[in-house]
Amino acid sequence: MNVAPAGPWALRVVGLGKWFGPGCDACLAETGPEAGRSTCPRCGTVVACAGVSFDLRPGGVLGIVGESGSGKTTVLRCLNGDLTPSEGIALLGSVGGGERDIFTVSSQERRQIRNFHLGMVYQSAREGLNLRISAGGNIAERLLAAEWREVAAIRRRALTLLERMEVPRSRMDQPPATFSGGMQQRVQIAKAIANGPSVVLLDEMTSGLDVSVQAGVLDLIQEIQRAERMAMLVVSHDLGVVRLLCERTIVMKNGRIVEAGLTDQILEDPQHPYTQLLVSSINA
Amino acid sequence: MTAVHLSVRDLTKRFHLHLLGGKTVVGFEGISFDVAEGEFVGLAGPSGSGKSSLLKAIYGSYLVQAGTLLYRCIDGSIVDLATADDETKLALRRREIAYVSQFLRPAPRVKAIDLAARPLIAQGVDEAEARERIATLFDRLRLPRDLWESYPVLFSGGEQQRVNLARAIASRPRLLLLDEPTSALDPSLQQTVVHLLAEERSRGVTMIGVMHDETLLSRLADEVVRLDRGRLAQAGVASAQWN
Ligand SMILES: Nc1ncnc2c1ncn2[C@@H]1O[C@H](COP(=O)(O)OP(=O)(O)OP(=O)(O)O)[C@@H](O)[C@H]1O
Ligand SMILES: [Mg+2]
Ligand SMILES: [Zn+2]
Repeated sequence: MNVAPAGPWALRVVGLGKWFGPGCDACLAETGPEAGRSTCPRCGTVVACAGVSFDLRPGGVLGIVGESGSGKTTVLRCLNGDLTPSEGIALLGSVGGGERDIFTVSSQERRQIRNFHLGMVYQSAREGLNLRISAGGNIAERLLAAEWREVAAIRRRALTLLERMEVPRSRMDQPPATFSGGMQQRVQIAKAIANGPSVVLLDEMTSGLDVSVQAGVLDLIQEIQRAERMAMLVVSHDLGVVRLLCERTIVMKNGRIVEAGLTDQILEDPQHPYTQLLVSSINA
Repeated sequence: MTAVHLSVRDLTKRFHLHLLGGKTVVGFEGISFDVAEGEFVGLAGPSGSGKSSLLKAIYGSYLVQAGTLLYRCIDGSIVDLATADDETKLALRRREIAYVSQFLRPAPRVKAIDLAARPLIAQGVDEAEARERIATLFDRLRLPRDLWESYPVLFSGGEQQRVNLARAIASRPRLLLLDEPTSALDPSLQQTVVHLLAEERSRGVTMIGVMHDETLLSRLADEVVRLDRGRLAQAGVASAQWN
């Protein structure tokens, strides 16, 4: 069921850029970490991200950290197809032998990619789940989109996933609107991985939760990532989260990557002034 | 003649502290020495002399500004760890190079035995066998059995240190980096660890170790590299006979 990626990477992103506004010749020079802003002072265009490139290996876990507004979520949303990027290329190892730019495929193929190859966990459960239909129904919806047809198999899969995410069997037929925040996120994770995606995108999945609840969710996501060997792209402003989950980390500021490296290197020997600031503020 | 496993040449580490007005701190400077396959090289020197920094540079947690770290892989190929890309470093960490830091930073809800078994499972060893191997090491390190299924975040420093050691040794690395692996242990446990490391060494594992207890160090080390304020004070002094 897992879509095995062909290349040495599960996801390759080259020069991803997304801006909101008309754009002018000065946009790139006038924004970024040196300029200390993301909005072009000449034309008012917001350069949410630019020149973002990275590889994610099959089964690898890559973190993206940075202050709010640095462009982390924009990168995820472009990859998931929620936003149309302004420039750049993205390749999935599991799609077209890794040679097909998923940013330029037809909208029908885009939907296929989303239904079969990707999973996304949103910061707010409201975005990732239909809170009014049952937890099991949310997962069934995802499986139907991935062309699962047999009702018994769908139910079995939903039950297995919810159990693995420690959602009690008795809650399966209840709508997530009645669940705690931590449990909603666990249902969202179950839904995101239901179709056996090669890459899962996670956006601040624990930021609204209590620390103790957070620990439980992080632990489960780690367990399931290991078991299913999915690649994950983890966006968080919390360095504790990436320390726990990610082998490599990218640091973003004002829409650009300022530093990328092994997570322990980023935390113990940060090079960029901004990363040093970020790290010193958590160790303090 | 044994082959060189790691060749350190003119290695320099400086920290540029941007938050302190761009101040530069020297971690170490111009360090050169060789480590043969199956050899135990001890790192000694006063506090702040650069020992831990050197280990972290070899492991890849610290980036260096100059010099090379030529590492011979199991297939005979040579990789410069000083400039290797992240994926190469990660692959070596999974298969060949392990690091025991003084402190474990355990994940909050993972049991001691699972935490220690993880690198093995990642190598493809099946779960039952991985747990078996860890259990043997935990017994050997006299980690009380009622702690095995408990959470290391709650452990004492010495207990964490033993989990850390078992985790690193069980994965059967070719190069084991040890930073004060016995510092939180009582004398009798220190002896146990020395014996265990001696066994690993006789099995052919290459080790580079920092131990501030020079008596312990001299029992293990074939050679001692001595640092002083980030520079090589003395290298290649044979300080122990093996067997
Ligand atoms: N991450 C870091 N950022 C800035 N400076 C650092 C960092 N790590 C080490 N240093 C500095 O590098 C120098 C060498 O430190 P290191 O920890 O390697 O010494 P050590 O020999 O292991 O000392 P000890 O015996 O006390 O453990 C010291 O001046 C230290 O303050
Ligand atoms: Mg030290
Ligand atoms: Zn502009």
